[in-house]
Amino acid sequence: MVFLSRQVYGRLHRLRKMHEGITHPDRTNKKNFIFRMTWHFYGRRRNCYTIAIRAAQKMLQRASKNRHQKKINMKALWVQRITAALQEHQFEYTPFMSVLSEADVQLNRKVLHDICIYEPRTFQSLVEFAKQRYNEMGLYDAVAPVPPGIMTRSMSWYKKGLFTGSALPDWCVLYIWS
Amino acid sequence: MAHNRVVQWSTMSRIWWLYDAKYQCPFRSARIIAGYLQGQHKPIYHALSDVGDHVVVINSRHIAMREELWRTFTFSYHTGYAKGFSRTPAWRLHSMEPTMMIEKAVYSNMPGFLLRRKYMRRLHIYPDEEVPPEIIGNVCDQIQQIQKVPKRLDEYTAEEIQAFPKLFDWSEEYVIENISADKPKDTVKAAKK
Repeated sequence: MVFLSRQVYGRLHRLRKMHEGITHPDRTNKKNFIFRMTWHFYGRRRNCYTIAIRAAQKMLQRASKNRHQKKINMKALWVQRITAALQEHQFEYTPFMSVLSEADVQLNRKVLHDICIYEPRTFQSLVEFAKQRYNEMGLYDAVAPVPPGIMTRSMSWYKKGLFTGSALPDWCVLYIWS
Repeated sequence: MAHNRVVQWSTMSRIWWLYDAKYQCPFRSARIIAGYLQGQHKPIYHALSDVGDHVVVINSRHIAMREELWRTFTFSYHTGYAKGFSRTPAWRLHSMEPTMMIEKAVYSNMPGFLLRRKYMRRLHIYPDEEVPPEIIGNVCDQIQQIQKVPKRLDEYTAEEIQAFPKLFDWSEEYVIENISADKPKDTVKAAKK
């Protein structure tokens, strides 16, 4: 007889053994269920059942968990890209998003990051609108940067810019070694 | 129409940035420079796609640190062999190698992934303003300095001092005491003489 695959030969061999009296159940289908998931794994994880079943279980657990994690990762990437595009227009992420939400602009981060890559002029107009709106809001007056030449004791580092991360206060002295 | 198509090709190009580190804090500069090397300033950023740019840092000899950091801040290194641990204060390392402080700061500011050394090869640091022509010829844009460098009093021109608004001035009859002339003289020395 000509056998087209090892598995088929093995199954016939086992069936013959069954008829001869050794009553082991045929586990081929059960094992194939796992091997169909692990055919592209490395080494014994694709050929040996006891190792493959552990690898397959881990793979399925990770796939389940990462369906939630993927959404988190994608959102972080969108936020990063929007922040980068806003830096080109000298604006920041938090005021931009807060202004858009208060103005009832229903654009989520997924759409915004697409706009900032593929529609730069549209994004620029959005940023201009947000900047104007931000200047009209009440918080701007409280945290507006102080004009140079005026010393203030209160909120000095906060007033340096819109939420920029310059942590050194004005009175800090720097030394050079050269 | 053709013009718009060409404008978008330059999105994928690798840009050479210039950064002047004169009187700047090396650690805070390094955070910005590491971001540019990874391409985090671009809207097309992704960690796996290599969108990082080149950064040329000049005047790294003239960086500034606050308070006693030149004396107290130490760089540690272990060679891996026995008795291979050494600690060098910042002033000493900077005297020996004026480019090393920025290099170390940028390296530690980047995440510890496999692309870090590849990105570090795109960082070119020079102690003074002398940069080879093949490097300076590539530079297209400049990163803004972290700290505004204040003007020294002797750097103000006479016209600027004249033009600066004055609230009031002493009248000519008012006598301003000469502080150096009124220094309390050493009475013991005077008595000995």
